Amino acid sequence: MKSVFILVLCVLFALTSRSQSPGNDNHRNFPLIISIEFHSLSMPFKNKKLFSNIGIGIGTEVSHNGNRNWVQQFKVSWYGNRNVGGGLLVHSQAVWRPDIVSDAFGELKLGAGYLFAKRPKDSYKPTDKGWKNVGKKGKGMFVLPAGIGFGYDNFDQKTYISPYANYQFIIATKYNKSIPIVPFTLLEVGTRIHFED
Amino acid sequence: MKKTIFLIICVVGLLQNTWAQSGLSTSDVNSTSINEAYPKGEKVSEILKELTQNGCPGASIALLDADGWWLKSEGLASLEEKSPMTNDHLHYLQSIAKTYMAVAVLKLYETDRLDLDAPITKYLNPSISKMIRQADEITVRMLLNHTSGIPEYNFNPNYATTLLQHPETVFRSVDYISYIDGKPLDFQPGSKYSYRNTNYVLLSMIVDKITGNHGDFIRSQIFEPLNLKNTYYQISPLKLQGEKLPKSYWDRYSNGILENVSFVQQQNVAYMVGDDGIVTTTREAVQFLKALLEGELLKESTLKEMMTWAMRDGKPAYGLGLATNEIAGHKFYGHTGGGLGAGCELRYFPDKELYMFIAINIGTVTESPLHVKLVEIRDKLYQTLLE
Repeated sequence: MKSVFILVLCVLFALTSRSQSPGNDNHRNFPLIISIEFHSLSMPFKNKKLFSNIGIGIGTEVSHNGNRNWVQQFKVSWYGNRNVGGGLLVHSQAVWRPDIVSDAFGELKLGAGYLFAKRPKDSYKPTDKGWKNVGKKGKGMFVLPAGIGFGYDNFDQKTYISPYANYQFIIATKYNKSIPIVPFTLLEVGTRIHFED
Repeated sequence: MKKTIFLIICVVGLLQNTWAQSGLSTSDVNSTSINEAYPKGEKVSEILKELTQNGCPGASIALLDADGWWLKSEGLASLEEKSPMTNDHLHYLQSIAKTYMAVAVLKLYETDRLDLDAPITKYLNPSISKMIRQADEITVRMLLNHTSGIPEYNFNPNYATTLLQHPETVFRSVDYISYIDGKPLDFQPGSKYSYRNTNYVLLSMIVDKITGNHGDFIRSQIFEPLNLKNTYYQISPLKLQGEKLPKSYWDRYSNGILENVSFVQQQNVAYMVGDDGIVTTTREAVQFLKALLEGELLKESTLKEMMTWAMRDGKPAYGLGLATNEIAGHKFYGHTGGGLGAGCELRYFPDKELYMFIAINIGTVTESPLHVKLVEIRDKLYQTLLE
């Protein structure tokens, strides 16, 4: 876990150093990203209920080139899921934002992360003294998130906000020995708040 | 009056004790009473205990041979409530339901209402047939012995994710078939054996088409004649929750930790058709297999058809809803069942004239490190039973 955080800090530092170049920038680094998320164990676009299993996310992003169209995001999301168990997802994604029209943009994301998945119910472990309740403690898994979305961004010298929505497909690895990969989806609606320098 | 009652109790007590010690009165295999002095009872009991001390919450067994009936349960039906597993508990038969489904199909064959070698298109609704590639080349027999080549519905990830994320989902027969809609066959029909649950979903639809309701047909042709009063098929999730079922446990992450998945298990079993969906007691499971193999359900010639084996690796593997193999050199007929939170085996060993059914409340469909020890102990159980 320590190594994951160190890696994240190193990447952040490297990106910050690269993205300080002046020019016709239309992006300000380190916005506060806040989102509401809806989780599901599902193949992409096969969710039976889009708006269930609510969660929250918080994060930030740094531009690779000083513009909004090519950034690296860092996020932590927590969600509840009473059927398959909630989780804490830490991930980073490279984001490409092609302009659609005016200040609206599309989003394509790809990255990696780590999921601390909980169980939906208390669980039990056999011991020499019988069965021991070990609570909802689950398992950590590497995940590969990919997403598509859209948003609106109107750069300003003052504080400005950039609302967005996106749909993430997350492949969790080593779920169990028989099902090595498991698909999750996260529907995410949120905003980036770019504070005034 | 008091004296008379006391005397009667003493006499009955004395007689019971004498019978138990001699083991005479309960030695008749047709008797339904339990032989408390079953010769291997103590050893088997120890093995069951060992199972429950090594990662299996609870286990129940029923044995029937020349020494009569013997039933035993060990461990817990519920880890949360610490309630014991008992001989009265119902168990999920899982895939053993296929043997029941096959008997229903063969009943129709015996009465000339169905031709085993006719293409399935003759009996299925066209809307279903068109979901299956080369349906006109697949016969009813190929469904029964898993040589159809039809793909497995539960290999479709949408099925498993729907079941786990939305266990309240009501699945209809057609929903299962829609998971394989238009998919190429795994192999040419009739060319090899490969076990697929989809085959038995289709059989249930065929029996629906012929009889109106395959569930009612199974009840009227199997449960009622055999007086199986604790055997249920396709009962509602609500009714299942009210029944005396053990809780079901699953090692979700293959790390030796069990989670209660009773709700998903019940929902799943309540809506499965043909390939699963029966709950029963250990005793009634054995009663069914005994009745089947002793010709109470099917004619001798039909039983012969049932025991015409599809081969796997050059060895007989599967007939019409019935499997065969050997354990420690002893041939058996029967079926096994596995689910998210349960597992069981129903077998008859002809050379020992032994019927057995064992059920556990730990899931067997995904791997768990707990299974390693449990398999070892199960092998020990068979060694003991067959020695």
